[in-house]
Amino acid sequence: MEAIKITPEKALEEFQQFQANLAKGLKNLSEIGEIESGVTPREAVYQEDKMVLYHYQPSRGKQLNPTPLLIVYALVNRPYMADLQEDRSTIRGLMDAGQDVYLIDWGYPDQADKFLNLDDYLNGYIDRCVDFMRKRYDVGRINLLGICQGGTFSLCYSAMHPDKIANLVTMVTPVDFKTEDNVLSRWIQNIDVDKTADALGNLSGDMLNYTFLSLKPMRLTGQKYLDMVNILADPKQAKNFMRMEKWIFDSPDQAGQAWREFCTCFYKQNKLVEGGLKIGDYEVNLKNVTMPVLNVYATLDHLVPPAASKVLKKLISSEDYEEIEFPGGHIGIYVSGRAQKEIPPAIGKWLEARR
Amino acid sequence: MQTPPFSAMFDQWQNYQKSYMDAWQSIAESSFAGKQPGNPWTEALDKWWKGLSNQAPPESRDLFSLLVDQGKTFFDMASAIKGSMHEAMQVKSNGGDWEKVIRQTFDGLRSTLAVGTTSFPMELWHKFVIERFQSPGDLIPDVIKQFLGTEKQILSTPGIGLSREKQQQLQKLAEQATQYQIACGEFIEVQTKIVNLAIDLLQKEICEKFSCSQYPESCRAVYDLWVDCYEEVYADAVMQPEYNTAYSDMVNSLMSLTLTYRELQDDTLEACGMPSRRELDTLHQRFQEERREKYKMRADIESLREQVKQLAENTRPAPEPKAEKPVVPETKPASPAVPRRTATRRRTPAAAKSTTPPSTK
Repeated sequence: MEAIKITPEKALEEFQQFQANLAKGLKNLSEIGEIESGVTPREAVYQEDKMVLYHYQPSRGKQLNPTPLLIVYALVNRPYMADLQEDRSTIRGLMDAGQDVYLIDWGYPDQADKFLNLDDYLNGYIDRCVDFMRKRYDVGRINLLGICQGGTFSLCYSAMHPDKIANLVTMVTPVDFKTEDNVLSRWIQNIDVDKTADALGNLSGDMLNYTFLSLKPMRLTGQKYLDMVNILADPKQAKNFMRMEKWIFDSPDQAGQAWREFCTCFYKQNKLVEGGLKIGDYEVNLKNVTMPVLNVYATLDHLVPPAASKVLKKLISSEDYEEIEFPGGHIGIYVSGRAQKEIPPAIGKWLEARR
Repeated sequence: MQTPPFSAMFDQWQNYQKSYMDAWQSIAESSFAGKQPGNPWTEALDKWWKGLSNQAPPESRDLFSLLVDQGKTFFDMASAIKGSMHEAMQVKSNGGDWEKVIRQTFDGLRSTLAVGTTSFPMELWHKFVIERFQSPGDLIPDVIKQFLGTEKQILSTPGIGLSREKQQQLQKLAEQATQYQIACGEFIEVQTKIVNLAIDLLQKEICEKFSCSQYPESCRAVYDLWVDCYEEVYADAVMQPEYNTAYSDMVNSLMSLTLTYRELQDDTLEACGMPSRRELDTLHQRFQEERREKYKMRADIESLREQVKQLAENTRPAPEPKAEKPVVPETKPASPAVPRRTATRRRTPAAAKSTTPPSTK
């Protein structure tokens, strides 16, 4: 008879190891210091309300693409995910690939911002940032890169203002909000969005976090922390973990009106696919997207399933459409070692080819 | 002295809330403090952490408590399954019903795992609700039944007289609170079903591994198997209408309750001569509309400036030929149709605004 493999000695060893890692971790965590993030030097060049447009400082003598690149991040979570640390920075990778990078930081909306709507965000903030950059560089068009919900915004913006965008890059961007495997979409269908926005004013970051944790509750609230014990003994890994933890729970509230419109028009009515989307005075018709488009998606993305992104190809008029499929998840596409090596250089190369 | 309307009912309501909180606390105590009686691993970990926690930096204590709790969960579970497999191994070698041994272990584990796991979403939700709304949490179903039995008729009594609307508002609040408690209870039921299905799957997996002599190699492997089983069942369940209905009922009923609660708060604030949320909303909405108009006007002015500039360029007189002298006496040149722009720099949003980044959070 084969003996059971968890012997008492082995279990004891595992227990002692767990305890030892915790003890080392306690020491490391007490010495970890401030968890800094957003590492690339940058300058605030334009500001409205809580929104700030940053310009990342290129290295001296670096030859840059004459068309600047604007990154539009999601309203959910903070944009320093794209510049998390020295060796995990999509922004730094893009700069190394010759791009002159700008980024919109939306800030933290409060109750005084609850009436900000999608028109304010897209035809207001984004449009004025785009105009600012066009003037600054004396160019007619700039390059636009949207991340997640920011990708949806960028896509809508490009459809409304195609004359201002030279090339569009969308990363892990939901386009079809009603694919079969979209759990978030399923959950929101029966939620009374209007009542929620009326009751809360802004949608709290805590509520969003609750929702995201609920997608994989045991992994994200239990198993993840057991894995953490195993890496606490290494100060560098411990700090990386804590940095990511900080980012995950650093969730701004969502301006109520914009959240209401986003949930209704995109998640419930799926208007990018079904048609009929109007933002402010503009009809959003994806057939107006005629500029070159690069669509980057992650195969293991549990927030934006690949099918939700890939449908873009069928909906736009651009004759220059390419995709990059990354074998990873929604976050891994920014922070994994492989992503760092592959994604920013590929985007840079694609943009350089379309100068 | 006349008893204020509904005061008795709300005293009762408070009593129910207290009963609920006591019941909740008792469940919490049984599911956490008393969860692993007699397990040397978890007891050792507990003692270790109690001794060490004073030395831990205050900002790390919550995190470490979480890590220790997770450690206890996985050692507790792995220890039970390991014990069961040893026993099953002996029964198997004697040609006995080893599956029965494993089944018995899982029957024992079921209540512990069910309470521990279903408490996750409700614990988080409860924390979220209390922090954000300062409104009551979810009632235990028995308490709800009691409340529904005795108070529903009172709640449906129409209001009368001068305070009719206030009475109705309070009735509405109480009804919505009840609806929310019921919805929470139904959501817990759905969560319990998921855990039970996950335990069934884990049992099946363990039996399959046992019959093929593929035994987990570590306590962690057992825990990971449990997580895999739970997530597999959960991923399927959350796509089903039953889960979606329970979840949305819980959220929607909380939002109804919150709306009514806010209205009452606003009424009270306004009665005290203080600014209410309602008033602030009116101001913010007007302010936002004015901002939109301001930016629209700014864009219009910019566009007009461009047009004026174009016009000025188009109507500027051509340079006079130098060779010929004027045959008529020299006069002052006519003014251009549009005055030339001065060298003053136009105010753009960028120039007008400070470029200092605002402080974050």
